[in-house]
Amino acid sequence: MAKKRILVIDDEQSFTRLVKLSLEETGRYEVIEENRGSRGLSIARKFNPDLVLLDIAMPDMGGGEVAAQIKNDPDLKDIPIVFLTAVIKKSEETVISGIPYIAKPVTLNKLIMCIEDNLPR
Amino acid sequence: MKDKAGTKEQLKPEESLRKSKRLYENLYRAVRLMCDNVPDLIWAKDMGKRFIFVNKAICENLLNAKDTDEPIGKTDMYFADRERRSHPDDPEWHTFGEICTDSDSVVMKSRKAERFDEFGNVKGNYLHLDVYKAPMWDEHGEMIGTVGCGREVTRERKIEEELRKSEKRYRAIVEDQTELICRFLPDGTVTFVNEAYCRYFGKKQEDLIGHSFMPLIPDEDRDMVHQQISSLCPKTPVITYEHRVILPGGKIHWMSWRDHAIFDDKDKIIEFQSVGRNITERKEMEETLKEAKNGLEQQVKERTAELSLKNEQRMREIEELRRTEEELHKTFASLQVAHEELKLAQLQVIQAAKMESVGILAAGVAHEVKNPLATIQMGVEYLSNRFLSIDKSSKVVLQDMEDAVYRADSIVRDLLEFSSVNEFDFEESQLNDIILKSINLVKHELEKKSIKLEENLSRNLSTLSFSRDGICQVFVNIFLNAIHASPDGGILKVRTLEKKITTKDHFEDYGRNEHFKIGEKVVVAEVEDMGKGIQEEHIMKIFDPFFTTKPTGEGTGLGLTVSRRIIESHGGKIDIMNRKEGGVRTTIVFKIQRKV
Repeated sequence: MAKKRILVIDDEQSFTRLVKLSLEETGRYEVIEENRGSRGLSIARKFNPDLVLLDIAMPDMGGGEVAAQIKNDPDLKDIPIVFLTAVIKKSEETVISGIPYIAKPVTLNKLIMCIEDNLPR
Repeated sequence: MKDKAGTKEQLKPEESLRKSKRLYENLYRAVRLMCDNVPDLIWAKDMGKRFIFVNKAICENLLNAKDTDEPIGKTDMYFADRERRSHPDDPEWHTFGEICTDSDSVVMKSRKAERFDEFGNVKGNYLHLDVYKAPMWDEHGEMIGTVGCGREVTRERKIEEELRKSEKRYRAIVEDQTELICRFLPDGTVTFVNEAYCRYFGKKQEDLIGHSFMPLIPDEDRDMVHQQISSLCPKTPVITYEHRVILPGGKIHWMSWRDHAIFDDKDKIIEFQSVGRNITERKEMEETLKEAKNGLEQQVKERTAELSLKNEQRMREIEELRRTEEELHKTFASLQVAHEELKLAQLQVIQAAKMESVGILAAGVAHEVKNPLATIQMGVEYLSNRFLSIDKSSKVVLQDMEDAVYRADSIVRDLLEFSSVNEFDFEESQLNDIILKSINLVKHELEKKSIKLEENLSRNLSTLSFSRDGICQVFVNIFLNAIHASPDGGILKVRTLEKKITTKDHFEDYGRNEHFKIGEKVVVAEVEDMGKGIQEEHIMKIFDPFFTTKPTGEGTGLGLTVSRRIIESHGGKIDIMNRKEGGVRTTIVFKIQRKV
């Protein structure tokens, strides 16, 4: 079974590294890290992931905008996105609008379950 | 008779003479008797104006002669002089005399009978004689003297004179009158007018007398005048009335007439006497006055109307002012209420602003804390998985680290909740259920502190819309505070009930505000502890954010702040006060009828 390609975009480098280590440790995923939101779209095009883990609050470009760029890209629009967020308030759900999310901090099990739930069948 | 007695025989001359003498003497005696027997003065004089005959009356009344023989051969002047001499000091004693001889001369000269008025003083008294004198002739037609007789008319003349004077006087009065005087017959024919009347109408007396006065009166007044004068009778013989007259040149004047009817024996009116006054000036003044009065009345009327209009207007203005004042009072009252509300709102705004900043802070903190927490979480897990065969104590350390991450995450979650309590999910619930769940969560702590729980939960509470998590959090908070305040154990009482707000509740117990109306149905929860209570200086601050009496690390200072926000988001009230008996009573009140 081919490894699923996961793109994780988060400005917190220590977190993206641990996500990559933890997911790849399972042997089922290939993970690409990206710490700048503004580069999210180009890396997604280049890497063409099966799923994108996307932080919402990033200094250069927010996850919401990155998600919009991806959803507006004809080649990338079907790639599932899961938001990662440190701050989840109900009001944020409207920004997220239908896109699944994971609240940080998150256990590895929860993270994997969420990825699996959202990977295309 | 003599002829009858005598015969036709011829009388002898002496006899004839004797007869003639006797006849003469008899005749003389008769004449004398007659003359002396009349009151009038009778005399005869010769051409020398000497008396040849006098009667008794002239002797006594004029000449003062001692008998009828004395004046014979003497003149008037003889006696006049004698009288004047008898009263030399009184020139007025006797002034008669000359006048008599003068009139004698007149008659002798004119040779015919004449009449004279002769007067003067006799014995100091005025004497007036109406004298008739005539010449006396002899058989040859020669004037041989004069005869005269005088009748004393002193009194009559005096009366006549006085009458004349009187009439003159009255005439003068009448003529001098500015008032018009006239007399007229029942048919209107004028019989008398005075000078003033003539002057007034510019006509001569003869043009007026014998003609009717009616043409002097304008047509329209004639009937009235006629009616007025016809109404007079012996009982009311006088009438006064006013009418207009036409003056020469056509000028119209007003007259006031006072008519006096004069009646005959049979009470028939024979004439009217009328006195008139020109009242034109008065009439004109009256007219002017009337006009002025009318003008004034009109002015008064207009002014009154104007005033009443103004008055009405004023009344309306007053009414409006009163209404405005009322409105102002109302507005003022509502402004006061609004002011109170504003003050409250301001407090709430300040509080909200605080909350807002706390919320922003909380979100920032959450982000900054949760990201490293996420790393730690992932890291601890990674290490745990990687070193499955590590020693027991290392495992405990790793577990402790995971717990720490969980605790840190909880605090941050509290903070977030605090700033986003309005985002709870509400569902219909029983307050008792939520309380029991909360008790369950702190059961361990209660047992640890040996605190006995006394529940008194009403079985008939209404189901209300609650955020179960939120209310649970509130009660856990209250229980934990109570437990914390009771290090020596004690009893924790929890009570729920449903009731109507009483006046006492309204004004004293539940917040002393108008949040709840008297008679409103509410669900109440009371929690009482027997702990150390709240220091008085802290009681006003207990709901302030970050206010805590707990040591650092044991409390965030947000518990009651969040609790109150949660209760308020339910439209309820939370009150915390020291009990008299010690400890704290927390009262939470929920409206049953809640605005959605």
